[in-house]
Amino acid sequence: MPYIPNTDNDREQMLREIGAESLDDLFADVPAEFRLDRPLDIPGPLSEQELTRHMAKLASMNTTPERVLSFLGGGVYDMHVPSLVSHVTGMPQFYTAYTPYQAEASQGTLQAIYEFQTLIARLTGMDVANASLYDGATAMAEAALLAVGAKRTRKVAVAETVSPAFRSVLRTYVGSLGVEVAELPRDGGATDPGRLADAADGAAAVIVQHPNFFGSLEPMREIRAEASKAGSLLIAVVDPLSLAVLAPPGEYGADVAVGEGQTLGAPMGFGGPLLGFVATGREHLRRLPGRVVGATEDHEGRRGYVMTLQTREQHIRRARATSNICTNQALVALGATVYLSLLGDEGLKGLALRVASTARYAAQVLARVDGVSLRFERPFFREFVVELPFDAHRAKADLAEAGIWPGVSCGCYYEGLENCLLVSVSENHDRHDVDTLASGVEAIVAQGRDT
Amino acid sequence: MTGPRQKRDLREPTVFELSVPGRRGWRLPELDVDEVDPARAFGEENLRSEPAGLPALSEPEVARHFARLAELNYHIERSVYPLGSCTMKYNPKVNEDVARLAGFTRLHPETDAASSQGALSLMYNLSRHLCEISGMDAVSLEPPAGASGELTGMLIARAHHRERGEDRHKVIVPDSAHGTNPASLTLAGFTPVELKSGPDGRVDVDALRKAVGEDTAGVMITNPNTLGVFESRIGDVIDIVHGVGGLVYLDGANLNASLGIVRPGDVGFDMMHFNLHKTFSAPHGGGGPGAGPVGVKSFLKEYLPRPLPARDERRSRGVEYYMDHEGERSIGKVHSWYGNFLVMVKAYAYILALGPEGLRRVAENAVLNANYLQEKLKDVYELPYDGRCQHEFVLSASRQKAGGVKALDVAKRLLDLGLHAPTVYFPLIVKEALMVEPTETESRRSLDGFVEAMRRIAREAEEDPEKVTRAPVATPVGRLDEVRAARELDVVWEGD
Amino acid sequence: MSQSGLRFTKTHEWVREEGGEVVVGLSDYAQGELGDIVFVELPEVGSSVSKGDSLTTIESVKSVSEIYAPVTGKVASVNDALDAEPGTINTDAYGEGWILRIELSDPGELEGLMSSDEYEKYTKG
Repeated sequence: MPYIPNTDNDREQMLREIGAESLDDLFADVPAEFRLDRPLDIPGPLSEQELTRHMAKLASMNTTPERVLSFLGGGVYDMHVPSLVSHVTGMPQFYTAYTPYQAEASQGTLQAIYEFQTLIARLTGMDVANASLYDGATAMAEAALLAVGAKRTRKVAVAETVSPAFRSVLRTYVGSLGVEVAELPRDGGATDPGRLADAADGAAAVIVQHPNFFGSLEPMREIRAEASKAGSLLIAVVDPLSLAVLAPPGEYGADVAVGEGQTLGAPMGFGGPLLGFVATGREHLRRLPGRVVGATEDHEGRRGYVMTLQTREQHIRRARATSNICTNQALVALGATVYLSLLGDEGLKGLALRVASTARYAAQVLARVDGVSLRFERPFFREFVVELPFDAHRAKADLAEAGIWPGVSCGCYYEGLENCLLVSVSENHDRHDVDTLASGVEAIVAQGRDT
Repeated sequence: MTGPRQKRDLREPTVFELSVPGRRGWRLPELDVDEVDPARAFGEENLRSEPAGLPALSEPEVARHFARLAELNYHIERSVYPLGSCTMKYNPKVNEDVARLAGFTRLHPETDAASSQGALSLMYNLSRHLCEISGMDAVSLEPPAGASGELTGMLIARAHHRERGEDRHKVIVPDSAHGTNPASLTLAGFTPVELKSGPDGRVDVDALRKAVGEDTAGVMITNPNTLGVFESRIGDVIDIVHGVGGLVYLDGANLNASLGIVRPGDVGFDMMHFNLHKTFSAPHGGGGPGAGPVGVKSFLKEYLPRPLPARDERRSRGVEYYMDHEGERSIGKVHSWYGNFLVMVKAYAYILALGPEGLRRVAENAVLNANYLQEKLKDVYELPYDGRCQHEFVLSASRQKAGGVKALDVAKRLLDLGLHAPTVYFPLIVKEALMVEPTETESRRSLDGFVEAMRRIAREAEEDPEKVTRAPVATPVGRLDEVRAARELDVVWEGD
Repeated sequence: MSQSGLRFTKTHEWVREEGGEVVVGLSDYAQGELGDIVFVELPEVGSSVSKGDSLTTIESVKSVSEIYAPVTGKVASVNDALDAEPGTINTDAYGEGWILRIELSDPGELEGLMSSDEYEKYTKG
């Protein structure tokens, strides 16, 4: 049997030593009427060769940017994962390690988390950060709960331009706690600060994504001012790559910064595992969900790291914990730590500008196609919305035949945007790729006109 | 050993201390379009006023830094992790390889069904296999961890009762439960009611009968429980809760003892979560990513998060596998996409590698290994609940405590002997608890090594207690001052 | 400072009457059980409290303890020094480690509390 070292001989001897007649004896406490009396109806066992072949076949039935020109984005991006990142996360000392409860034997994991916390805090311009959360969506939900706990009011206001999936998770998390979720209306491609007051009235927090789901920049300073007027905290949902160039939440006075860190060297993986992060001011440190690593010393003055403020967490505080989270995304956070250490300020900025430049070129070239226009007149970072003269689903189907996936259709999420596509440019796209997209779009628009 | 004791001034610095301006670990290809002028593209007021302060290092330096950090870590390939409730079994390498196939890693979640048949069929079949293994009727793979699975289950219970117009706000949880249980049900808007365990460590059925009522939404049970014993009266427990209209949730963390032996669905559980990073061999990652799929009986299927992977043999949509988004009664989403897919890949591969016979052998060997350890340690450590255990058992260091040596000290001394400690101070109902779970991937030789170490420590506790209370001395750092950590709260590097 | 002359609650708070106020703290026995204290969340001065209300939490590394109001009244002052030095509760539970002062509304409530000897017996039993 794979992965089971003991032989029949071992088992025989062990059974004797514990005074049991057979393996079956060991399950005497399981009532007979519940005992499974047949083998499980599942496939296998497969040898490693058979398994490898089977999995390769499954993998080959998926189409990736290796075989198609894809401009899919919307929160998860096709970034290059540096080789060193995969090698470090592939080291068994990191990936097979347990949660670092026994700190003295886990200094590798703990120091890496400490470095991750520091990187996130610096990137977001906040004081402190935690060891990671499941993804950007749950991080946003946890931040909302943090605000509700801090302000003791049962309402939050979230911008309509925040990713629909994020808003869905938010509702799931706060709905059962009697927390009202009000929506901040948009004006075209961004939140309208002038119409914020109603929704924000009595809200513990105002939650805005920047850049938002449409890729557009939000007027964060005005929103901060309005939120302050309403007495609400400001939760900024941010793209860590954009923070290499854009002002971080700390600079415009956000109270909490959260976001999706997949873009920092994690594969897309069909949507998971991802990397949620949360950062805030020191005054909210005790309200932070999840694990936090702190530095300390041993009795001989050696610097070391431990999980600290554990009294916030479920294993101590139980029902009164700041969150129920236990296992988080430690290995993905490690990957991001390696990634940011490789890139540094200059590398991350260079990458951000590269992506933004290619995105801007793409927007220009697409806007020049007859019948195609940029839907929103707003600055954008790595993705933007184009409007076509017909339904986006049809456009996608037509372009797929040419081996092009132009983007995410917006109509399923937003009324009135049925002809719109969210076009996302990755660092793997060059001028030629964008030109190919533009010609493809031109062709199907012309076709559409002729039919 | 996790490396020799570090010389005080030779610790591995942080990446920030290693940073030297001008160093860079990565090159970008040349830009072949015009570079944006950030001020013009984004507006001056939207730009960063100064750099974030990320470190500048070359690739060799980054590689060396993390390799050094790796050396400071204990891990499963070094030796056993006898952690009760964690099921730290060997993480098969083939799982790591297949999870790195580009067809899985480079797949965007918005990919249309026709272009993701591999991923969809994997998720669909994994769901079916989990149903078969557990006796549940439907599974959502979306929760990215066990705690998330628990929350999902509790939200399902809430939706179920609300739809019947019933206002039930209490969920009963044994005092031996894992901390995530009361935390999760509270997050779902319920109030926990703690049920004191009986003298044999199991659920006190009479106490349960008195505790349930019309306001009981349900009960969360771990079976085998956190003491490692099978709840032999689980049938009664379930009948009592069902009798008042409540639901019974299984915390599936201990499923390793049940594979191929008994199915929670057959026992009568209404819902449960699985831990793919425990029972199904996905690695722990130093704290994740895991995966906590939820299984339910058919009457609760409508509440599961959407979308669910589905199969249409007749391909009426043009594809065999697809994501089914239908279901207005769903509790909503608990993850931005479909859950931790790459973790599912590993669990799926594991199930296929073992097959039905293999999974049953897993349970048999896991339980045998635990009983073997229990037998060989119960004369030197107190065993509060004697009798056949399942995949784990709980010792108490109370005998040693009388001589001044606590469970924590035993744990630290194990580190000196090159082993990882068992879970300590859990479950809460045992004083100076040491919860031991070897799993089936430990050989008899490894088990004997652990026994020898534990017996040695018991001897030291009697003859030379300071050896234990001063431990660890052979790890890179000595016992760390947690009080200082909590008072000073140095959680980010402040230097340059 | 000694514990004689103080009154105690079943939840391990001690109480010392001073004019129309009571000084409240955590007993020496309880601080020993809790371990090194790392944080004290102090209540708001001026807030009204009823006997039995949870006033504040005290955290050690491994656990959290609640301080319950031994009497009904108004929070007159809190020991701000505990912000920087929470460990004072460990070293001087009855003196410098006092936590807050409550302006009494009903002195009669003091009758129901345990004497120092009664508390001694209570913790030993």
